Amino acid sequence: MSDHTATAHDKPAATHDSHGHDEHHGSVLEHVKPYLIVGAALFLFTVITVALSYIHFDKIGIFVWAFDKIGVHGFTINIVIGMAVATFKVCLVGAWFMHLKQEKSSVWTPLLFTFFFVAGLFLLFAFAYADPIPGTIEWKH
Amino acid sequence: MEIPYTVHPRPDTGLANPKLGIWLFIASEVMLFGGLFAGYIFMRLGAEPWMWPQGWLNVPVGTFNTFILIASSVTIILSWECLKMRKYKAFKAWLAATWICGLAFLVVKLAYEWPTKFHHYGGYVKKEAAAKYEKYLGNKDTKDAKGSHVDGHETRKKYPRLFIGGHLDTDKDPDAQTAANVPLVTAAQLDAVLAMGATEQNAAKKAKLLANRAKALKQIVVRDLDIAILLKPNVTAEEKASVLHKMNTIHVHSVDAENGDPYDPSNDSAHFIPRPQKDVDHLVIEKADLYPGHGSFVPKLNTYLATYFMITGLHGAHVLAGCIVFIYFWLPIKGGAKLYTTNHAQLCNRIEVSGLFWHLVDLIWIFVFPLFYLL
Repeated sequence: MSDHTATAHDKPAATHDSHGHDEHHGSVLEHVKPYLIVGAALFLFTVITVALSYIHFDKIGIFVWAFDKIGVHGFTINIVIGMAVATFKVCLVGAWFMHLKQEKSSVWTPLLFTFFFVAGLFLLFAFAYADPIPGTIEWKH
Repeated sequence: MEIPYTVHPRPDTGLANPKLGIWLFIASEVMLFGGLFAGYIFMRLGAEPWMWPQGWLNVPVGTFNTFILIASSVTIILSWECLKMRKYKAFKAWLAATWICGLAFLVVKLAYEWPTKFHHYGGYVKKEAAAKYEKYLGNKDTKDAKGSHVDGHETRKKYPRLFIGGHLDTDKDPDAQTAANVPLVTAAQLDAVLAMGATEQNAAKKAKLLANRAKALKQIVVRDLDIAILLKPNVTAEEKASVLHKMNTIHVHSVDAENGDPYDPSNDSAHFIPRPQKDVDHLVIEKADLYPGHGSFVPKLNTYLATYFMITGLHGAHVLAGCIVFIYFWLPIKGGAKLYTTNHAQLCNRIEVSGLFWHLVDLIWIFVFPLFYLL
């Protein structure tokens, strides 16, 4: 998709109404089919997100056992799973809608830094959460 | 002056400048929202059950808005594809669909979701006064109707539920919500306000002080009828006490599900169909029993609402910005749809770049929806 600009630039402006001069051949549907599928998947995963909120994973043995291995307990399991589904949806948007699948490295490189620093932001909070200053985690007035 | 590389890729980056620019902008936005989400998630994790509000937002409405944004992400791609294929009418139609979806999202948010919060009432009862409102808090007897212990009853002893939320009867008293938002007024504070300008001799200064007194009275007493009583020349101590009592009590008309049946732990989580409120006959909350900050569901009430309004407000501002840009490109003006005939490639780039921004708006919402509505 990133090459369309160069080819389009040289086209005479008057061709916009004549079907014979379309720069991309084939029907619109053919071009947009992947996007429609991804859109449908996003709808589906939204429904799944809502459905998952009804499941109490901290009451299901296998989830309790598995998440215990990474030190995650209680309602936090729901939050981790909910965020995992959201991250998957975001990956779909990024890969297809934002074309990261086929994008150049000059787009990817700054984004890698971004991911690195965002992970850092989460880790800063995670460290503070895992090792709180004594007395500050208690709820008081 | 012609700006270089608006259409052709720069040799060193391999990208046209607008595209590199929007990606750098997206990177900065990811940092901005990443920090906000990280902060929110760990505040949420630090809360005991029933200490963090759940089920305060309308899930069907949130789901509807999620669908709208995802649909608009698809329509902007369709618009861009149609533009590339030089199908002008379809390009315009899909672009219009995109900004209409964006505006619909904002209408739902600003005309329904936020106003319902402003007309909701809530407050945190002081620990020492919690016993008075036990029926709505459910801290002492942590057994349900069948006699079994409710989920986490041991921790509830340590971290009692203190929040009462509901609706005030604004049909009977249109000023109820405004009056409930006013902090506790003591007799000394009221006397101090009433005394403003009483002993002033200078006419000009007296007039100014009396004007200030009128403003202050409106703020702390709210109702015109009560102000009229206080300003009578021979106001009695009983009348004054009666007005103060009226100002310092809140008459709740109906309570939220978690207060209606505080022993049912399922009332403390989000539900697709919102749990109905329960009408109460006579719940009078005294402002003296509440921690400061009580009142409408606005940012000052608690951390949840503060982050909710801040993050959804910031996201809403992005939606609005996207809509403005799309409408600009849609209108038959020089920098907009007219570019179709004058510089087709540049219009393609503009739609692509604004579309990338729009997808960012969509993916931020993909995180907002489960975090605030469901978890």
